[in-house]
Amino acid sequence: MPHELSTARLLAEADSRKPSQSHLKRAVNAVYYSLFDALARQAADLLIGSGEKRKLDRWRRIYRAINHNEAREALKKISKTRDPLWSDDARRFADEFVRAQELRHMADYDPGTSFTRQQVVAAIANAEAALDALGRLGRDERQELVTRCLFRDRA
Amino acid sequence: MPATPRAPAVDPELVRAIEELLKERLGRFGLERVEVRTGLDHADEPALFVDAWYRLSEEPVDPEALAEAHRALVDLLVERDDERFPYVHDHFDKKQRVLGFG
Repeated sequence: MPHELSTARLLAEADSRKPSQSHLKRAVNAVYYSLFDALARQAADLLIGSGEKRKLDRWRRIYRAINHNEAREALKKISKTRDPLWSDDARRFADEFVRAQELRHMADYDPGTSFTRQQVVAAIANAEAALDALGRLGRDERQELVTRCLFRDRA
Repeated sequence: MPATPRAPAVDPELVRAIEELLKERLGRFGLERVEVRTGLDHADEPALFVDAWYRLSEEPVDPEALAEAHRALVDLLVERDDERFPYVHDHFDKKQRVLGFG
């Protein structure tokens, strides 16, 4: 399990009687960043390479080139497409990314929002499933997905 | 003082279809009530916000079933050429168990 999701689980399962909103909101934040990190890693691995290549500056440049808004825009299109190019796994990852980003925004910027432990643990479980779905994509589909997140279509 | 802008009402037929879909898929986890409203998401894009309220259920909530219901909701909107993305907010009983979690 990615580091961020382990952190999210710990936060969500802390305070067994009455979970604190602070812990739950940090867990929601970690859920989103687990998906964002996986997407950025896929992009850098596919375009630059994995293993020792992860130490290269150009790997870090690609990793950091993923933009939150552009990724959401691209993934929302994939989630809502009828194009048979995209598999159920790609749409699953896209769905969870869009939902997790909205939740993270509520957690970080809307002080009026509160979460229950059940909502947060369901979000964690769904992020785990979305990461598995991303991992099941073939190389071509993963490349298609990350390049759409990195580069906007010209109007 | 300017009037508070009101979100446009959601087509009642769409509300019924959403309610039916969610109750069919999530009724076994105690889903009792669904409310749908329109609004803008954090990126200022039109969205549907769905609040789903549950009673305490003996069957632990399966996160996979929640995700599948959400997927079906996205498909329902795609079939209707509705560009909005649906965000579902599940309100469970505080004692509700979730599959895979203590």
